[in-house]
Amino acid sequence: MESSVIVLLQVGFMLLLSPFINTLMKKMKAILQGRQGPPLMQGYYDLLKYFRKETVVSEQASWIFSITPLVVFSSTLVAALIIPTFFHVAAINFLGGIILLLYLLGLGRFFMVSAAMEPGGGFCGMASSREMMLSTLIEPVMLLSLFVFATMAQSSNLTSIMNWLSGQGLALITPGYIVAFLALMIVCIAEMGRVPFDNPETHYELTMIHEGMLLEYSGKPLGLMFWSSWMKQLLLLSLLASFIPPWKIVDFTSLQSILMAILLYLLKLLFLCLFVVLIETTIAKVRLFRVKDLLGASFVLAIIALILSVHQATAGGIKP
Amino acid sequence: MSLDILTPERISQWIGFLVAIALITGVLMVGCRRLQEMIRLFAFQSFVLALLTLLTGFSAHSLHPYFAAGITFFGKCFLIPYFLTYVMNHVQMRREVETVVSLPTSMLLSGGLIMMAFYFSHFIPISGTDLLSKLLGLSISLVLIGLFMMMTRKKAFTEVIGLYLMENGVYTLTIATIFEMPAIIEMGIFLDLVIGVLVMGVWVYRIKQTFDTVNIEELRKLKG
Amino acid sequence: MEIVLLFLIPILTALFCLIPRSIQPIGCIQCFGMALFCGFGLWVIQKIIASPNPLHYWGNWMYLDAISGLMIVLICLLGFLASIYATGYMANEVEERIENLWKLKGFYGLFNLFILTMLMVVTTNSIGLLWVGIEATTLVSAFLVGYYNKQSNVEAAWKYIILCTVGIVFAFIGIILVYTAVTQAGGNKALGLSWDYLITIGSQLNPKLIKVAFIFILVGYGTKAGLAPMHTWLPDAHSEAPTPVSALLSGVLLKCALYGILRFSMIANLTSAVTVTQPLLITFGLISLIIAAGFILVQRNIKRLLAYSSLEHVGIITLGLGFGSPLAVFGALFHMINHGLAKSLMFFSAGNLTLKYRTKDMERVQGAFQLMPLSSVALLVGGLALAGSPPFSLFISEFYILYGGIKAHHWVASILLLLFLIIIFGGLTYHFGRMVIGPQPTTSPSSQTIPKGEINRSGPIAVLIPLALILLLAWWIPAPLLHLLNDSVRLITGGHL
Repeated sequence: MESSVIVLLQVGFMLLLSPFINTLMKKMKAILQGRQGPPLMQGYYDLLKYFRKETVVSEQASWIFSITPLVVFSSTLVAALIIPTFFHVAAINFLGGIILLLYLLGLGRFFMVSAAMEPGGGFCGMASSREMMLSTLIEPVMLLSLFVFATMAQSSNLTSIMNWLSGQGLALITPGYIVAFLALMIVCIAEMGRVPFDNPETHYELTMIHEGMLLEYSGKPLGLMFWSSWMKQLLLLSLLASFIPPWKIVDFTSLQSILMAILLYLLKLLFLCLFVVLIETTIAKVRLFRVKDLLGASFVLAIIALILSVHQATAGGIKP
Repeated sequence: MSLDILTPERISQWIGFLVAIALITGVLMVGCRRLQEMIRLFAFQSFVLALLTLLTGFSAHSLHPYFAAGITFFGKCFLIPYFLTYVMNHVQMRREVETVVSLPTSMLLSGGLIMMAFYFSHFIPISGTDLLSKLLGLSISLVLIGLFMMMTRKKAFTEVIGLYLMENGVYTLTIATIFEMPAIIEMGIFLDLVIGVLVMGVWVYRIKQTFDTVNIEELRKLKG
Repeated sequence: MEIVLLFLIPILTALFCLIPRSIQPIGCIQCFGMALFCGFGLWVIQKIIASPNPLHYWGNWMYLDAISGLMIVLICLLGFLASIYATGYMANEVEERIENLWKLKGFYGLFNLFILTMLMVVTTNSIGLLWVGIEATTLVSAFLVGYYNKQSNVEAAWKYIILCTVGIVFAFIGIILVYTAVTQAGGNKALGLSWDYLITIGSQLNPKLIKVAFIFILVGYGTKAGLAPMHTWLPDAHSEAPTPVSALLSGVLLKCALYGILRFSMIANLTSAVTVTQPLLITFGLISLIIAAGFILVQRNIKRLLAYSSLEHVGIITLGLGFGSPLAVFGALFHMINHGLAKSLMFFSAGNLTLKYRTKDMERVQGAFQLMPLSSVALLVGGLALAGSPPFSLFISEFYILYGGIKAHHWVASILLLLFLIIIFGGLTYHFGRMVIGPQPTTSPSSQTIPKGEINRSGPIAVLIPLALILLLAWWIPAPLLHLLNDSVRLITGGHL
């Protein structure tokens, strides 16, 4: 009973809130830059618009092109279920959850990249090669930094990691933890396709990565693709949020506790959005060839985090 | 109340943070593109090490580390960086770092070096406390990273910075063992470092004068 | 008192060298100063021999035992010889490559400072100050190596300074570890870096820690001593430095670094770390020997040839120290002195030849006997001595090392030592024989213009003294020197072997 409620809540939440969060970030950015920005419901309007439009598919494209939006959408949705959002319990939880999370994201990416090359557009191919380059850099770092948390909690199940985290309280703020969080933050921003790595707002062919792959899509598939990329953004933000203190173990019998947990989650989310937007307004996008510098640095950060945390554990610092 | 943050456990935690910061600074020094940035990072790292010294001095209830921290702060945060900057401006070299191994690769390799250092630090039987072994790991990593930097950078100037990164690593080791060396020896060692940087600055200048470049790849006449 | 004077003399000599306005008096002052230096050195050594216990000066900062005495002998003797040679050599150089008198005065200033730093290395009681001293020798001698400021000089100096400084950083790690071992053993923290104290507490130190420390020290000071594979700076620096400095670098400086290693191995040998130190020393010695042999065979540049020969001899000395039996250690210490003398002889006579022919290329220095009989005969005879042939003291000391090695059952190492000594013998006699006896190259037009005769007066004197000494030492070791050697051996082997 309890778990099905969570599943429903989480699915609904992911589906419904993700366009809003994206628009919210746009709006925040606009305000910080002294513009008016889009209305907060713009994301939903866009989706509605796409779903009403006609779908045009290139003659060269095969079945991969048409199933890709569905695959990407569903894999992202399932991935979203692995991450604890408002509660410390995720909808799906089992050992190895973080690995599955990465594979699901990878699956979506694989299909997206293959589909982008299908119609044979020049920019799509370029964008997908860039996406693959980025992902080869992003994935190891993400895995490594998540493993740091996993080694600390001695579990690769995100829910049990959360349980462990909320048991630790502030004693958890160890160097290893913070460095790992930093590394995770950098790769999450990269994975979201946000500013130091990619700019979601330009459609300037030479710089775009993610947008470039969607160039050949139209109508409903395009809507789905957008929606799933927003969902991915939300799920990564939630992932980050779940590692920010304070944590709260929810008592599912009391409504007040549930509401408090939701409020806390939303606050963390808001804070993260603000942070990402602040980065976006203050830092310029780096050249594509320097992206690997930044990701290399985050990889080393993750390694340092791993060393520090393992070291701490063996030297008898924190008991898992 | 104000001393609440300086309980032994807290100090250990602070030291952990400083170790992490010093490690990250080391990696950033390998990864940064501009010489000026490199010098600033070096100064910052030395500052972190001076703080580390202060903290260990506080936890060991001894006056001596304060003295060492003061010397480090003065020498490595001001004197040596100032002189390095002076040489850099004077020689008028190109201000970018030139490497044999690309920057991201060198950062990754230095990550590997850090792993190696922490692994091998277990074999050095300086027994015991968490603090010591952490500092030992940090020190070996910095030495290795400095060595790596010296081997892969093309400019004579970067070699000097790499050398001083190594030296910082050794200094960390002195913190780790909570030095109570006779002060005169410490002064001697410090003087040696300062004179060392002066002398090496002179040689960088001479290399520039005779070869018209500071790229040490040009220095390959003598063989066999 | 006498130690203060000993330290003051190089300083005063350097200062007095600044005064004259022509070349000749500077050389005279330098020679006179170094002669005085030798005299006071003998006084100090006499004191060392006379006192039953090691001497302490300036509170606890100076510590002079027989080993330091031996090193002082080396420094004084070679400092004096190099000064004699330098007066003539540098006067010739002023005509050709040195622009003004101040540069020459700078040379003598650095020269004396160099001697001073080496003196500090061998007399200090503290391993910390020893480190400072060794680093100081690098910093000072780098200026001497790069003295001519040509491209090759600057390159050699840069490699020298960087490599040795990196090495010295490693050595510092070793020092810290030793100090840690002392504090862990509950030793006196204020004294924890003094030799005399370390010797007394040595057996209580944690052997594991000392093993690691010794490896660091060996790598660190080994770089400075030119042990292969950290030797790459050595041929460059030795070939590019002015010849008198090359003699000092090769004859004394390498031994100062070896002195550091020796002191640490004495402490390490007090613990069970002795199982590590001796094989390490033997290995490094053999590697040096093998690499030196290879490079000697194919060398064309005479000063680089001599540098590689230094590498070989450092290898031999290290082997002797590694064998650890009293006889081998005696041989090694004796070899330090012999090699210093022989190598300065070689550098000086080779320097005379290169000044004459204006090239260091051995292909173009041929038939020297017809041009400068004395220097070239000295080169040939010295070459034989260097290769270890009988009527010279190097043969005796090498023989002691070999015999000591065999007696200590280091069969493989001893056989390898013998093998490579033979190979190097072949290489050296081939090279020097061609230079001296071979026909004068008639093909090159420049050879016609080379006039006969020695280039200056001081050159032959500086060559003859060490030649006489190595001949003499083969038959008769003066009683004080023998006393110093025996005492040193007793200190090093410490009766525990």
